[in-house]
Amino acid sequence: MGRKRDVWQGTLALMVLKTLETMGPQHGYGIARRIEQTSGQQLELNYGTLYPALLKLEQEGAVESAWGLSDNNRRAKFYRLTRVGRRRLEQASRDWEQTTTILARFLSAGGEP
Amino acid sequence: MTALRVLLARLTALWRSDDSAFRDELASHLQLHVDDNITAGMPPAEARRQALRRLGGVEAARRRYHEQRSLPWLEHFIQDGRFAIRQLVREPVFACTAVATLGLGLAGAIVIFGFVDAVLIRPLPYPDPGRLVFVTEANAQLPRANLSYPDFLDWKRLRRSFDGFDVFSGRGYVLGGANGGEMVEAARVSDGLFRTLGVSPALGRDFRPGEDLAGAPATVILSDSAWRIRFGSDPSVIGRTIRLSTEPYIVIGVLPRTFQFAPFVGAELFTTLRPSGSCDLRRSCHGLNGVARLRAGVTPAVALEEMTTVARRLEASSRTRTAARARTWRRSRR
Repeated sequence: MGRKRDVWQGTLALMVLKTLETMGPQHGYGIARRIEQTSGQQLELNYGTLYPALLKLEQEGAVESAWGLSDNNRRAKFYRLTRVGRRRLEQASRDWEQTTTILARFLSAGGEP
Repeated sequence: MTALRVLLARLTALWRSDDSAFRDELASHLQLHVDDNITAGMPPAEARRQALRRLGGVEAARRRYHEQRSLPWLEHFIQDGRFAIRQLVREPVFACTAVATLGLGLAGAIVIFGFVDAVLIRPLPYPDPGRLVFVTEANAQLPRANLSYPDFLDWKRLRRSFDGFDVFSGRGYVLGGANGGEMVEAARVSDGLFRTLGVSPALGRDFRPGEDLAGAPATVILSDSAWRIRFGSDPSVIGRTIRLSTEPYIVIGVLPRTFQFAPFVGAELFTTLRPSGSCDLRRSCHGLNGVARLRAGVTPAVALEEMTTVARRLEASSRTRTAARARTWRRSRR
């Protein structure tokens, strides 16, 4: 099996936003587990780096936070996507798709003229 | 824009430096992870250890969080500042020396700047100084020589490019006062000099046309500093007669405070030419500095051409052998 890779710094924010869009409001631990799951267990996330990233997103206005109760009644801080965050997610998704399409062209063996 | 928002958030956090909220969040995170581990079958001690390991260390996590929350460099700066102040308070002699040295250095820099500002940076205190030019003669010996009085009169009569054309010359007088005579610097000017410069006296009146001719009454205009220092800012000095080198002169005006006569900064009094004596009346004696204001739309090159033509015509029609070529140059911002 392939070794687990470190999460690239810039992409962590994007992954968080996408997770929140898919899952709805979630606490930090839940977001981290979900990211690992979505990557097919290919990524090993340092949970300690998740919280500064979440904080930055909150400072930028892309997410909001509020304390609430988890599934098993534990007190936890939940994050949810804001309108700003949604827009940013759309924009970033478009950019990434474009980047990967261009790269794929270059990297495919015997590229066409 | 987001960068600004983030900065604002971090600055506010700098003020309210209470990270306890994150401590709660960290504890909550660990608890959730431990719950999951126990559910997966781990013994409690192992569950906790594994959760901590995956977190990457509580202290590290707290530090990273704190660095994002506020502005670390600013915090360090403030801490250093506090430390420095504590040290200075403990060593007052050193602190005084440091402050005194800083003060001296600052004073020196301020003085130098004040000088440079007044001399080099500030614009000349005349309206539209870009249109003022010096007028000189060119002859075989000197490309830029002073003017003679008869030349000045001729040129003044014949020129068209100038709105005003006047002359001035430095002069010292002995000012007669209660304690005997005192040497003061002054300038002799033609009647329209202040008008050409665009300045009018703050008190009293300017010289009238013709007041600079021989035989005109002897009048004098004071500079503002002379009026304040020598005459005690007394408004009744207008009309008073003072003695300059034993001659009586009537004070007719005082110049504005903001005015400074750039060529002769030290000039305290201004009298009129009233030519007399050997030098003034000879064309070959060049004792006057010319200044003129270009007419609107006239460039120095055009004025130069005109004056050169005038000078050539005069030269042709006069019997003197002095070759004179009028030259002008723009008075630059100093």
